[in-house]
Amino acid sequence: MVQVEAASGSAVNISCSRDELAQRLGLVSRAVSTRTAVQILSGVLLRAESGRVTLAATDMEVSLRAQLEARAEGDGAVVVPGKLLVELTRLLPDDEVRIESGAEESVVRISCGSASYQLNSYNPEDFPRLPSVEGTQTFGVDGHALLETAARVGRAASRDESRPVLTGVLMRFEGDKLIMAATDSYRLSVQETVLGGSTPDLEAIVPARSLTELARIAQGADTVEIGIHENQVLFAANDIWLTTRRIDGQFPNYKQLLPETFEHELTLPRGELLEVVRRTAVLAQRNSPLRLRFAEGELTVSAQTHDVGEARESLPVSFTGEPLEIGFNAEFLRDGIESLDDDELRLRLISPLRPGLIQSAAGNFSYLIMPIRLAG
Amino acid sequence: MEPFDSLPEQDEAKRLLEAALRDDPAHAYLFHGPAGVGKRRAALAFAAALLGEQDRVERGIHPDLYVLEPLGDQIRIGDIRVLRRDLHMRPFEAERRVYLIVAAELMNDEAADALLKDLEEPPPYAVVILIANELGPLSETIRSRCQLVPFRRLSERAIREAVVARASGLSEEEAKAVARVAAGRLDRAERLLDPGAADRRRKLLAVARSVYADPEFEPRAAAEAVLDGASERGAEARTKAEQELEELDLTVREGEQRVRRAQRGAEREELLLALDELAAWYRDLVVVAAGAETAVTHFDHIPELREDGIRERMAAAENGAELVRATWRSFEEFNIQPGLAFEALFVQLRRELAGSALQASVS
Repeated sequence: MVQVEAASGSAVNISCSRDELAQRLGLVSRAVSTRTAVQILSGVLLRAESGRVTLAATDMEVSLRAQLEARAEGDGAVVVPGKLLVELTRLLPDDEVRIESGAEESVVRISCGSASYQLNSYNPEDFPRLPSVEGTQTFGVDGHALLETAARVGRAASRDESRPVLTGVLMRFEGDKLIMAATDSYRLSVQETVLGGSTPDLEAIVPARSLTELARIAQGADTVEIGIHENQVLFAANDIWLTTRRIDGQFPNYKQLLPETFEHELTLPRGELLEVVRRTAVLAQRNSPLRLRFAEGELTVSAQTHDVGEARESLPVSFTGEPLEIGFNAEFLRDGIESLDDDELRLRLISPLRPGLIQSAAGNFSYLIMPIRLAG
Repeated sequence: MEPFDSLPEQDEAKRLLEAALRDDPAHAYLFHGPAGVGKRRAALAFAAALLGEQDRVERGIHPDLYVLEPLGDQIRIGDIRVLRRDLHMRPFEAERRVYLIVAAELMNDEAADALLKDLEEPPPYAVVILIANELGPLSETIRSRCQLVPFRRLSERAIREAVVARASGLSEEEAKAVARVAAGRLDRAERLLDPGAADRRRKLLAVARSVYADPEFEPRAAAEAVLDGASERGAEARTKAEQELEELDLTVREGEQRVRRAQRGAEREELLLALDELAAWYRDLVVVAAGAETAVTHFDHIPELREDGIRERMAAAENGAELVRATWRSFEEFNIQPGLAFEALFVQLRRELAGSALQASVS
């Protein structure tokens, strides 16, 4: 059983600056759930314990908690309707905000300057019990490396729920390496990052969305603490804790999916290729493919949409041998090129019907993309 | 206390569920049986035992209890997609995660197909409970992947006790009448106790009688009277959905769709209930004519039934009940346009039953 934090409904008396409240509330309110019939999830939990005040919100997938710089009298908790509190805090004058609620009361009083409000509140005992932060074994990793890795692979995760495991990102710690992988079965993205020191060998599949939220809360943090529970993963940075439920299931074996040998290996100027692809893609509408035709010394990228028009552009490449033409989904190809930031990238191909591989010059990032069979 | 102690009767269901709790529970269950006999309460009690916590489960706020309740007349693929996304995420705080799909018979084909794979092999922590008032609309592929847990009509005594507990102001006789008319279903008892629903029922029975008793009977007017009852229910559901909407952050379009679906679902439910009631009335005429008065459903209308349930009308009443059931079936299966269907039904009923009135008055 996971250790959890339960909030009980004793009196609350908190005061803090409006800016502090607005800023911290802005961070956690992203997890406030507004689309569910479970009312308590539309609330923000304010909890005072031994002089420390935390804010928490959860949508049952991602939960966020942040420490609030505030003065508190006694221990207690209250759940305030999230949307209202955010709106209200934004409009309050720049002054000290006081938040009070009596024990067993179902209202909360908020005052700031001469403004005062009374809102109906929810029972804090009904708030889902979030995994305890203190009782969690964590290890620290380089924040910049973590976020960069997540940003690279995240967009290859599936948005289609038919295979739930693919809506997640595989996160694996292995020796001194962090490996992240995501695939929607049309493309696969894998990044291996060497971390400063070694970490315990652990892995988990987390919802792609949780990493997007992580990028927001952990921005600029040198270290992110990570704890992997059986059912949830905890990230902590900048006095904010993000917990996410783990996706269950077997992630595809990405090593097996990456071909070992290729017929062609080209080094291409990344920026130039990206420009060409972006321009040509304008005419790859309604699922028409982007055609890449490789001939002696030249790559021609073209697209054609029936009843709309066509585009064509060439750039010099060091291609030799029999010409080869391969089709890709324009958006997926662009995503792959955009995921890199080096000046050059490697493009590796086998044949028009086998997947192509985009890699960083250093080889630590791989983006495998399925071809589209070209007519004629 | 045993988890199912507070539930009346349903011994077979309890035996199956208690055994499941002693051993290893299955991944998927299908609780089936008439409406208003305690399936949902049993499912919540089962969920509470699986999650090891009664209070939060029964209040519907346990984070590892996921309840899918149809809004309106169907469970759609979108609802199942949202559920599946959740199903593949591990539990929030408990060791298990329980999914309750209420009115599972309302899953459309697409939704049922999307659920199949997960019913067969859900993640190890998940227990999925389908609740259905009818097995008919559920495909064999769904049924065969679930352990079936049958629920039956409750005894009159059990209903009477529930009625007394709920409406303490009733006399013993009144409670007995309600329990009899409820015919083993608590939802029917609830409706008999609800003034609006009781009024709709009274009007409906007047229509049922006018088919043979009123020389001026108008099929269209009769159909309209039934439809008005349904619109009334629809309007109530609409108001309720609109109030709930205030708590939710939906786009205008989503909100409108939600309200419309809730309204349509309630209207449809009311029409099906009306057909139930009509069929039961004509069957009661047969029952009384055959001298089996103690077996009637409309126990609270014995004098009228005696007056109307004459031998000469027996065959026609039997055919009438069958006509109503046929309409019920096509309504349930094909979602036909209610106005026309009811008008056609009343034309047929009139043809069948009015003759019998004539004969009755002649003889």
